Amino acid sequence: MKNYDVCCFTGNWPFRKIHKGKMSDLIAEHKKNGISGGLVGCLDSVFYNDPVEGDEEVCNEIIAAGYSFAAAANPTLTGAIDDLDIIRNKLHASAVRLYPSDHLYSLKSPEVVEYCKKAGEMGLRVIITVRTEDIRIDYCFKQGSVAVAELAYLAKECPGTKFLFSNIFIGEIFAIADAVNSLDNVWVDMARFNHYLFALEKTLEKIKAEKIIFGSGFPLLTMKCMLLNVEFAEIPEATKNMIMSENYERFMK
Amino acid sequence: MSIEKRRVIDMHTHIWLPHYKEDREELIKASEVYGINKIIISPLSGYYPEVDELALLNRLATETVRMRPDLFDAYVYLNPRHENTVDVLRKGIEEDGKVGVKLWVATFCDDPLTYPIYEECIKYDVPVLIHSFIKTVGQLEYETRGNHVHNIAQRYPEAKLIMAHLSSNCYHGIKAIRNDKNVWVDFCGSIYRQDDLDYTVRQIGTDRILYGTDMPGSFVTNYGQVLEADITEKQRDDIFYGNAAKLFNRLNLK
Repeated sequence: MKNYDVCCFTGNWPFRKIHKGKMSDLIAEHKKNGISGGLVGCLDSVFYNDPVEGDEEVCNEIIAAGYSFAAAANPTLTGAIDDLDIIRNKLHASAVRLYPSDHLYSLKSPEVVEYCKKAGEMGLRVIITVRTEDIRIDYCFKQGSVAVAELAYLAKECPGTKFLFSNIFIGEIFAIADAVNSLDNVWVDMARFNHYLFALEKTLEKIKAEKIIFGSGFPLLTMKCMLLNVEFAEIPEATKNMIMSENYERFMK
Repeated sequence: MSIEKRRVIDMHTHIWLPHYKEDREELIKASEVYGINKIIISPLSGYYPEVDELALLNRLATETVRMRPDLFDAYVYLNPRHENTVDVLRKGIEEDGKVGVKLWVATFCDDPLTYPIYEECIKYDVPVLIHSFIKTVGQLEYETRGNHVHNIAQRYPEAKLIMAHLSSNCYHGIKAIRNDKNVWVDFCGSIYRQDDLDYTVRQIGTDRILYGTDMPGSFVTNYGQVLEADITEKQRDDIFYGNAAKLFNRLNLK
């Protein structure tokens, strides 16, 4: 069985030095921790006026390493919908990763809904990055907040699109638990399952196991933190396998 | 998957009112699941506790230690604004066997109201755990930052001070105290950026880094940070256990 990381990145971050930002660093860290694949985004692209330019630089290396690529996207940019063709057919991305807390837009805006519908029609998954950093330590630039009700709204509006709610807090998942559990097109990653003791066990009391996918947030976050959440969890091995492997495969199918 | 368990002193944890009993049970369960040798608690409730509330909190901490002295030790929690602060401190150390002092957000840690506390702690040779947090949103009126810790470290070079949470944003917290050899740090809490611990090691080495988790917040978050840091196994052991064992000379480690 192969373990996957649905939330990982390469590249640089404008607010602090990333010491393990190369693709080779990610592969090495994954190898040390028994992970052999995943969905990788490019950090540099997040703040580029044209994210495609950043993604072009790294997509080939990511895919050649046997990983899948998640292109950074801002649906409110001019030409964003047209760029989906490039993202799908030239960059060979499997997903688009949106950053509404950094790009400061509402998930209910018509252009975002249209973009996500179109992405789904083209077979691209949509990852909503609820936050990139803890807002308490923002530097130079303050992130906006993503209203969790808008996550559920967007997923309902685009039933043909597969969504991953990424970097979402457990409390936020609980606030939309009905939607997460009932909508077939929604998954969450566990990159921010950090606020409680026995966080995974507590989440599984309210959220179906098939909805949770392992994600580390590396190299912005520490790989081992969320991995230990799974390893130490007092849950059946079958559930751990779902989180580390099977759910990712269903999401990527 | 293999789980790596170490000797661990978790020197920064809490029991909170009103759910302190549930917190206590969770801490005990955590010690069993994760193999924690010693948990040092401080009892907390509101930001600015009154005299009676503080007395209750300190009693609950004493009660917790007496339940499981093999597992728990505790800080005396103080509000420097109270006139009886030094009496509370003395009772906590001498009668209740507390191993240090906890200061939270009732005053900045360098407010003159705190001076008698450090003077007593120097006499008892016990550390002071100082909450320190730099926030871009939600900074509290008297929430200590790294520069406040530095001020008190300079005023009382014999005091043993612990700047908690790396002051949240290590890039702004650590440099304030990096030359203050009487300041230790913990990196506990919900901020677990990949490079925070390595950055701290680059700035101050590992001898002044202690392992805390802020339980009943996550334990594994900070555990993972130590396992992933670019340091030697000896340095890992020092952070998990050795540095705290040296610093807290009143710990019950049997």
